[in-house]
Amino acid sequence: MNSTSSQNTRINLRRCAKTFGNTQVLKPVTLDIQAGETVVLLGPSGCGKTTLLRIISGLEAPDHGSAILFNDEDVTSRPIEKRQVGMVFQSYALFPNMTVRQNVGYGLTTGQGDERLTKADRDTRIETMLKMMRIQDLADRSIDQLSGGQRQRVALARAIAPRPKVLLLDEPLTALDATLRDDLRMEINALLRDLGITAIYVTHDQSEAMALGDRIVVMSEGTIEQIGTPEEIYHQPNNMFVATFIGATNALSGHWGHKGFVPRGMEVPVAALRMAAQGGNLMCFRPEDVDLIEDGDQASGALKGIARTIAFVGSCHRVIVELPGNQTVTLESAWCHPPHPGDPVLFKIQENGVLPVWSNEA
Amino acid sequence: MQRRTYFYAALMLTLVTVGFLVVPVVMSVMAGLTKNFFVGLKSGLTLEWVFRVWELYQDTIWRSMGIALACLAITLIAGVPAAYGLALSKSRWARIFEETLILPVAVPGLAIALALIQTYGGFREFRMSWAFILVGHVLYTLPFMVRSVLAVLSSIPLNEYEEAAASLGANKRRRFFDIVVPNAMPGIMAGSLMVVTLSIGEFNLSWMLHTPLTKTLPVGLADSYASMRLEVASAYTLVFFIMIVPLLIAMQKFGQTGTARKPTQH
Ligand SMILES: Nc1ncnc2c1ncn2[C@@H]1O[C@H](COP(=O)(O)OP(=O)(O)OP(=O)(O)O)[C@@H](O)[C@H]1O
Ligand SMILES: [Mg+2]
Repeated sequence: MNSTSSQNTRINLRRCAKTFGNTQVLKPVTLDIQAGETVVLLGPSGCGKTTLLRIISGLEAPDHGSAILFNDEDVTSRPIEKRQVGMVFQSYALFPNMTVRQNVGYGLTTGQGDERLTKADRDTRIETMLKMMRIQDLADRSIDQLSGGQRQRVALARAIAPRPKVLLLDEPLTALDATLRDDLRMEINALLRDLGITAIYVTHDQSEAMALGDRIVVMSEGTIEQIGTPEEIYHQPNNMFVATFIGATNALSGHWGHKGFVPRGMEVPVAALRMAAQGGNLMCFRPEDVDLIEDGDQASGALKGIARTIAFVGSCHRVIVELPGNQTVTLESAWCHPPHPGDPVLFKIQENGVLPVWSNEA
Repeated sequence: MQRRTYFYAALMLTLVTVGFLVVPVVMSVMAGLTKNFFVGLKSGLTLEWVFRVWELYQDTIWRSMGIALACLAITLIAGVPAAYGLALSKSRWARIFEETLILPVAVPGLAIALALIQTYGGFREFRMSWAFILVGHVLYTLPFMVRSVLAVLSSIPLNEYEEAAASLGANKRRRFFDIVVPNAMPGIMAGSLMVVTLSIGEFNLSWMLHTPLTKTLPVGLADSYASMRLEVASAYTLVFFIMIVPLLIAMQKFGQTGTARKPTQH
């Protein structure tokens, strides 16, 4: 499917901010999105993801001084109907007065962009879209005869039919149930790769963000906390917020000494020095970035604790371990002989398992 | 046992009430169809009086229909966009304005008519034409149209549809005709029926605003009661019923389907 190859659009946001009343819900944001890239806006509820997306779409006018560029062309003052953006909403927003086919074809009748389509062109395009989203059989149904998943397929087909410059999706899967969500997520992923369209995808679900994003923009309270590939975000979080918002994180309190981090209630360092993480009184690591010591030999720098809760989570066991100094950590590992509650557990934090974040919070 | 007694008591009461209301109607219709009402049915049935009414008053019937249709056109052109604007507006003034839309029901038609005569009575040509009555009818019926359309528009996620349509390249005008109007159709239909029915049956305003040359059907009816044989007046009532009852039934039907067809969101 090469139908949108000419539509590759680069998007640059220059100090885009938004103030509602007296509160600036979006602090000035600068973001460069490559042509054909899928960028996920991720963050907790109310952090301004939708607001940013609506500014890019043209549904919301940004504060004075903001600029939005599509392929270096300033579109800041252009209304949404002249921006050629495809939008997919959480609530689908399909037109109930039209059939599936009419919904999908609607964007081809408005004469947006410079395309002038004949009736035959339109029909071919609609058929292609219906086929691509596997909804040919539903073409002549009315909207209230569709399931949630089918509706979202129609919404996707409708949004991409006019070959928009950018596809904007605001939590498109949130209204669907879990299995459907997984299926459709994979489908959207394949679709975005196939089309090679520039896409911005809003979600508050980190696994969705990880699965879909070429890059993830982590937001909180109207600011960008970090921009990076899913791997970067996961392994090199910029700060505590990102570390704790993405994936599970253990935070041990203690202090950084000459030779490394000494947890509270212990004498010897348990992790090597790591420049980026030398501030503060916390050391963070992922539950799976540990090596178990099961044969009982006392390696240096090992931590010893008591297993409290054990849960089998499919690929491994998740064990909550109580350490001296009244701290608990969560470990995920493939135990040969999983411990029972009360058993001693000996483990080491992996060499590069320490996250480069620091904080003075207890 | 007690339940049964209660049921029959309620049934009786209903029948008596219905009878009380229906008997005069039947009497009136019969009066319009009998040769001589004072002699009674045995004088025989006839359509003579209906033809007389047609002869004497057909201009009022045509005029009423004309005014009703013109009134409908104006309330559609003004009322649907107004309802759309109100549905989209988030301002407090829009909400206050919505509340004031109930006023025409509360303000007597006579008061509206007097105000119109005081303000525009001096424009002779205007005062003498049926357009003067039309203005009164529009003032009276417009809020019904707006409220009816607004009720439907407020019950659907209009804003989302608009945003979706805009993202697909539709400008304001296209959105109005492609999205707003079709989705407001139940309200537009209900409002239209109401406007036509109200306009055809309107008496208070029309009585004040009419001239001898611009009588409407209800005004003619009052005139015939005052000056004609009872049989003619009754036949006139019959004609009025024939015009208004289908409208009322349609309105009733539409009221039901209109509200039953709520948008389903999953
Ligand atoms: N039209 C508006 N008027 C006033 N405040 C608004 C408006 N729209 C959004 N806000 C506020 O701006 C902030 C950010 O809202 P936004 O919808 O962008 O958050 P979000 O990240 O999309 O959250 P969610 O995940 O819940 O959708 C919120 O505090 C919200 O209350
Ligand atoms: Mg949102």
